[in-house]
Amino acid sequence: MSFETTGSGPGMAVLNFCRPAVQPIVAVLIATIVGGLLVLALGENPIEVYGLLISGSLVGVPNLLVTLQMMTPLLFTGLAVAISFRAGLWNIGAEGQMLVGALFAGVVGYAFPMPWFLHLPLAILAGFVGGGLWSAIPALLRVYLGVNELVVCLMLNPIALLLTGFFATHVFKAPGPTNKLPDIAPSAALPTFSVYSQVNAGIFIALACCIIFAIINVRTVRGFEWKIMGLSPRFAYYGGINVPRRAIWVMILSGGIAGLAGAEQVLGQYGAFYDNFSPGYGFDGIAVAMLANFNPIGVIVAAFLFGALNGGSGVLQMMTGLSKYLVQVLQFITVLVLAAQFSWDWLILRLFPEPPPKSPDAVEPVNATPTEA
Amino acid sequence: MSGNFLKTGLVVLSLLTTVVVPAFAAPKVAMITSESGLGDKSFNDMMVEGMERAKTELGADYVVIQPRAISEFQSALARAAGQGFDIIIGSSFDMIEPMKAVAAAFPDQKFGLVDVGPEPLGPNVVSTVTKDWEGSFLVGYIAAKTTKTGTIGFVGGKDIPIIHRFFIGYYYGAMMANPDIKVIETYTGSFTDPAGGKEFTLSNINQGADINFAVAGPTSVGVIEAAKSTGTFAIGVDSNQNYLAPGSVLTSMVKRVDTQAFDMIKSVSDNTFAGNQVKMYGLAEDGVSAAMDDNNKGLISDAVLAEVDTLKAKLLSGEIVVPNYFELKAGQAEMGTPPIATPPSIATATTLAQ
Repeated sequence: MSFETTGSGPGMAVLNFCRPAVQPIVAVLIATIVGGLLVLALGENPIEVYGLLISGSLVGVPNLLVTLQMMTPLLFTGLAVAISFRAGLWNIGAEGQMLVGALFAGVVGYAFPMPWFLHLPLAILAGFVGGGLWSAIPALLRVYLGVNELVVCLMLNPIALLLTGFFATHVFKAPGPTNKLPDIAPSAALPTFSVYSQVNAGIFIALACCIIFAIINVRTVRGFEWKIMGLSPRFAYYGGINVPRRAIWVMILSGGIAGLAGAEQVLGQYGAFYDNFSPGYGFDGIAVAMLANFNPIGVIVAAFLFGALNGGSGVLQMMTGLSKYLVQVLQFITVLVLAAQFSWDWLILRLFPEPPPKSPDAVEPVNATPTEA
Repeated sequence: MSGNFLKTGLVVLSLLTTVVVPAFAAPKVAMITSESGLGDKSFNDMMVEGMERAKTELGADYVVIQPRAISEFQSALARAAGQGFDIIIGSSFDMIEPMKAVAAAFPDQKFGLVDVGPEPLGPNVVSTVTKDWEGSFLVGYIAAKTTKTGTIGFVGGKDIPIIHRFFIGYYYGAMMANPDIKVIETYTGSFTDPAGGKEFTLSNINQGADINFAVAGPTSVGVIEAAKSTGTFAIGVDSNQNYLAPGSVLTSMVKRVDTQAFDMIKSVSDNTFAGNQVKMYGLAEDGVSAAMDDNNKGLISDAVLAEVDTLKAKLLSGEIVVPNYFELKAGQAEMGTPPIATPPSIATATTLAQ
């Protein structure tokens, strides 16, 4: 964190407990203020606009359902990124892993009809496998050849887009003008609940994943090992942790969860794999994970916030002349503020190699620095 | 008694005029874009032109809702439904299923969808089909009149019936302009492969085709690039693509989704909206055109443009009927009115995919 506190007492305990939330809240507040100025410059009333964003995302069942729909893919991708970042692995390839997972789920969903109690789990599993395989590439390159996983992940994103696009355009293409796979069988569909929204049973899987990883992180040895790896891979190594092995599996898990985002899209929201379907859920996932301080429960909160922004956006566009880009700008400013915090921490560490002694609980995963290549 | 009756009648009438007429005089419209959104220099931007026209001519109020993904179409439609919009208009083939579902859930809300298939979408939905074969006819005529080599080309995306429909119109127009013209028919096999589009076009150009009509979605960009690099001409498709390479795009076969959207708004404005309808938009309805703007100024001679106008008049009077591929039969020797010999791809075929 950017500030140090010393001392003790009940007041400090409360402060320490709240501390992880301070940074994201400040970031969101700054984004809100800058966004408000932007709205003002566009000749609209910021209070009215934010009011519409809030009512358009939270008030009324239809709006709430749309928010949940927008939130679901971000839960998966946000969690995927959070898991890997927390372990010091810079998996920014969630977008590509999601696309490959979606393709796998789409193929299993349409090509192998079987009873639903087999078909649906298998199609979801296929999504996990697809994403996991795609993230295994940077993981193996990182561990065995020392190639920076950040760069490989980044490069694999467009490759995944074009590769899945190739399958949707040439190999498995459904007849018709759209580049998509044939529709999935009803037996592989995640049920939806309302005409207002494509929110589907996938959101329960997403929430369950977040909760499971929250428990793993806090209550298991493996979760502790991931945290140590993130804080210092060398320390983890000398502490007897099989870092390369753990790193590979963290990346595969992370990619698999990103792949689940694809499975949710295909099996729940689209009903088929569509070429280039994602407006960037994988990248939004990075923002969600950063806002969440890489905490799986925080991912739920951050994904809800971004889901609400995008859900409210539809109503905002309907009621005012404002463009969809406004909420994207809000998101980007939030990330920018968070990223500025990141580089600030990095700078402090470089300028003052011996930081002042910290209280043990001030060590937060946010201080994780990239593993050295 | 009759005086009272008259008074009541007047009161009712004035109520009607104050309540009903303003409600329809300034229609409120929601336009839902496809996932590519505004600034696509294609259908979405053209639809907004239709909205602007409705604003000036009908006093319409419109909002534009831009979903980020196909998965957001349904929620965008459903949340706009029942919000007091007189009509909600969409512009994507991928919106057919979402619109069907939402229209069934909101039977009192009127919907419109431009440039889709021939099947009606619901009792409260009006949709349109663009007679692209008539537009292709027009640019085929222009190409045959403008070529210097006597050979023109056609670069389709996939070798499928919907693209054959463009080719037949193009071929018919070219033959009408010059019965000795040679028309090279090629298909790249993909709608999303500009590099392939360029290769196939270069091959056409090597065979002497100095004008190539691109009917290939994003592949068309490659066709235009090939024209630019060889100093020949391309013809754009769907939207006005003249701007992509000014001076190298002879014209574009434009589907006038702006007209189609405007007519939908007009129908709610003058209370003639009737659902379950699929309206056909050809030359007569101003539903297709050959785009003329600053980017292709002077590329087509005034004499040819004058001929195009007479051609249009003949088409409107029924003197010319451009053949629709879907009404042709395999082995058919002649097609259209006036009859012109069918291209080999039909004359020698044993079956036609429909």
